[in-house]
Amino acid sequence: MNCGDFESNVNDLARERLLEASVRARALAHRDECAACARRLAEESELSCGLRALVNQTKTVAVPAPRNELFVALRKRQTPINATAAGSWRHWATSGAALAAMVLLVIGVVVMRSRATAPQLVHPDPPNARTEKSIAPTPQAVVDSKPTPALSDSLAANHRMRGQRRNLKRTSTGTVATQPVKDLAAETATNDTNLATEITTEFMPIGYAPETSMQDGGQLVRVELPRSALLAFGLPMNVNRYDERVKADVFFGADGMARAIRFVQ
Amino acid sequence: MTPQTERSDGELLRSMLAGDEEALAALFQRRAGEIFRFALQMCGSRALADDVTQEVFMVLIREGHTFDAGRGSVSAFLMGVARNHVLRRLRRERFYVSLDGDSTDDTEAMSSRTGISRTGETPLDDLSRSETIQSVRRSVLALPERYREVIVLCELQEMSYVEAAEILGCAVGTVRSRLHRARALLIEKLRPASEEEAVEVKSARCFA
Repeated sequence: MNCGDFESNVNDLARERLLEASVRARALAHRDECAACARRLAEESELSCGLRALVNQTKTVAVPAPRNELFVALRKRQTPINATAAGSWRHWATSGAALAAMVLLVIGVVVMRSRATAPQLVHPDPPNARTEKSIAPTPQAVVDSKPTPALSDSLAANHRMRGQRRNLKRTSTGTVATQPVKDLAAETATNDTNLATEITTEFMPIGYAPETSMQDGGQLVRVELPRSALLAFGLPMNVNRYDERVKADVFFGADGMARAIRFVQ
Repeated sequence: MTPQTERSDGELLRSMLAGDEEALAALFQRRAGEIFRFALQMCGSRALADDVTQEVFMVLIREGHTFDAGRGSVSAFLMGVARNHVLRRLRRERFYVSLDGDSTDDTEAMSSRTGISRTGETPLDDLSRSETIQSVRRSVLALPERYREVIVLCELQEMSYVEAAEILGCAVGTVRSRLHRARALLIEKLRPASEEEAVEVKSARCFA
């Protein structure tokens, strides 16, 4: 073994680490032959002794106890995890509920608006061409002129409920004392359910009206009449309810004259 | 139920992360000593070593889930964290000058308190041995960090090359070469001044 090989093994020799027996023997033999390497090994051994003394001294040092912050941190670490998991579920549930509520609200608003706007179709003044078709379902009508848009739409609604209509007879003429109550459009706007449940007769003409007067438009007025008015128009009447009143829609032309009537139940 | 002392570090870590405070206490009791000693030998300050020890376990609490048993032991993980914290603190402390003297004051005072007096030794021997220990300690603290940590791990913590390499994140051969160089530096520092001067004079004579 030369000095270079001895240098590479001097640490393990001084630290008394495991070495191959042959390597150890050759290193010790070289130490005996080389004064420089012997001194080098002596220095290394002295250093190892000093380090070992330092190790022994350090081993007696008291280790500090764990601070309370560690346990607090451990507790805090647990809490957010649970809270996060629960919070996440709660967050999604809340979001879902809010979303469902918003959808329901939007649907409700749309439905309400559609219902609220439906009666307005009764009032506007659409082209007269539309009204001609609307009045067609009443071939027996004396009023052969075109009705107003309010009347035509009302008649259209009347057609929709034709399936539920009673088989009522009609008379050709007759005037009734009208008692204006309120505008049909306003009534239908505020009470849609009544519109759906009401059963009406066809519009029956009252007297003769020229076609031109019907084109000027008019107004539909809900009135209450004595039940005997049914007889005046050739409709059957329950005698037992003689003293009760019956509702009717009277169409007034632009000239203020009553042009048609229908009875409502 | 298995006593905490019989449970492995990995089991204790899992229990601790699940909120078991006893597991934390057991793991601290088992591993805080080597971390504290490592930090103390690296920086020479008891207060700093205490801080580092607490910080290491704080990191374990916060980031213990990142521990991968396939990459090493819990002990190596803790020592690696301790090493990073110590080096960080040392680099931070480098910019400050201590007003109350050398940072080795703590270790010297501790040395005088905990000095081991062997039977049959005279007070002079005891004093000499204590001085030797102090000089070794100062020399270790004076080493560059890369050599100091190898000395601390392999010599003072009595770890194998493999364990030291695992903590330092380098090859075993690197540990060996650094240790060799570190020991040579220590011997130079511990060499008496008179002998050093003699060597210098001899060298001067040679080159004259």
